[in-house]
Amino acid sequence: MRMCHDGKGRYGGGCQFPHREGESVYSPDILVYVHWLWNPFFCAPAAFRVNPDMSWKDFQNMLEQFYSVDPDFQQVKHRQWRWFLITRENTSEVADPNYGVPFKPAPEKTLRELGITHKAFVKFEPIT
Amino acid sequence: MHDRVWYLSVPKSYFDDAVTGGPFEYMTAISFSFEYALTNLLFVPFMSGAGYNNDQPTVNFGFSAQSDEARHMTLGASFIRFVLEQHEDNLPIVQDWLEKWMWRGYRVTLLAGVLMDYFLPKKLMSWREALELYFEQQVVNGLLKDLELYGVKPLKSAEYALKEVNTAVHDVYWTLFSFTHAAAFHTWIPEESHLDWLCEKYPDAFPTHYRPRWEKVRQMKEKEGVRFYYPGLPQLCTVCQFPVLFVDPEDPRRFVFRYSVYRGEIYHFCSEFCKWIFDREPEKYIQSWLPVHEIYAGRCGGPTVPDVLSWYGFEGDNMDYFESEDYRNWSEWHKEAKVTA
Repeated sequence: MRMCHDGKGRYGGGCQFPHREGESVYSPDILVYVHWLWNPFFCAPAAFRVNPDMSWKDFQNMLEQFYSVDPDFQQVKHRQWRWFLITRENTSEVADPNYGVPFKPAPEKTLRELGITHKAFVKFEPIT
Repeated sequence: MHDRVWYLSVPKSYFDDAVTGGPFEYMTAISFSFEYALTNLLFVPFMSGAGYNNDQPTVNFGFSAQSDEARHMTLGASFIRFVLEQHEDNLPIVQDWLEKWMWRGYRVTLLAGVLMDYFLPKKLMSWREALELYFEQQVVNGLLKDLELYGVKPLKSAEYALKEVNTAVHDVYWTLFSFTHAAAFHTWIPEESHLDWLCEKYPDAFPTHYRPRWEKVRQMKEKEGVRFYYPGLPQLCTVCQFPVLFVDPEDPRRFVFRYSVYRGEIYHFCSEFCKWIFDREPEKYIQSWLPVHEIYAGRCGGPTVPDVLSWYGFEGDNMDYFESEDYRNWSEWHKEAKVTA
């Protein structure tokens, strides 16, 4: 890492570095994070590398495979879920960083069409 | 590539952050915050716990390390007073460094907490008890109070560390348990008597928020023969490089999530303090080498866990304790003695 200080105790001082994990590193794929709200069985949100032109249907199938490792997932699998999204584009609309902007996934739409961009954070909670 | 092992990125990024901070930040971070403020919290339970469990080699290492640390501690104490006495303009810079380094340092010491609460066969004291003695009493109400003479204000990061005392250590062990398939050390499901001890030491959080999931994974193991492992890769905090695993101390049913957008990209954090650290110096942390992102970028040997472990140089030290060579050796060597599993 290059040394680059501003003389007031901070790194930076006018230097600019590339984003090490920027979109171009993974292009055409993106990284997406997913979290099942209120369920601490999964110790942290999951990180996936996906193609943004994949359908939501395929993405959801991938998530179901992942979350099925929790036996309790069977109980919520067929319920209605509420979905939330935080992206680099929508942060001005986010009221609570623990949730995000509500969105409605559609099986035939692609992730790109749903506004899911690089390093987006998707959260869901089963509606009880 | 042992130095790129995913969980080693927590202490590695801690030291890399300090070393690239320039000499004055480095001295504040390491000589003062680590080797003075946090040294007792890390070393005393660590060494006493070793002695209590008859691990004499570790005790010997501890005595040797502490003889050095005593000198480093003196250096740190002198340094911080010198800088604060030199010029009043240094105070706001030092205040920010103290917040940053108390936060980063405290979170790294949670690894000692996990040692105390989960790994030691004979428990010396709980992490909570150690934090209250070596951190709250001696540092927050002792050492940092002395610095108020120079205008240093109480640290918000220290206050928050005490607030999350009932949950943070349990969040970390649960994570290590979940990723033992990818680690060169072993974890296991705590026995019932151990869970009882944890409930007694952490009555506000453990019985409600943690004991149930341990019973659940025990059921999965005993009834279905499945030892739970996290089935993918986690989101990491850009600053401290822990997975985003810490719950809200005010409502442990939920995690703490924070983010920042910088030069067109979004970054995620485990806490308000890591976000604050990023926002102060974003050009530093956008260069972070985050294990999960590097694996996904194809820079860690291959796409599967076995590929990555091979790239790390691991040779079969992973998985649950009861599936390990350590356990097999122990059972063999103590064949004549009573063994509980």
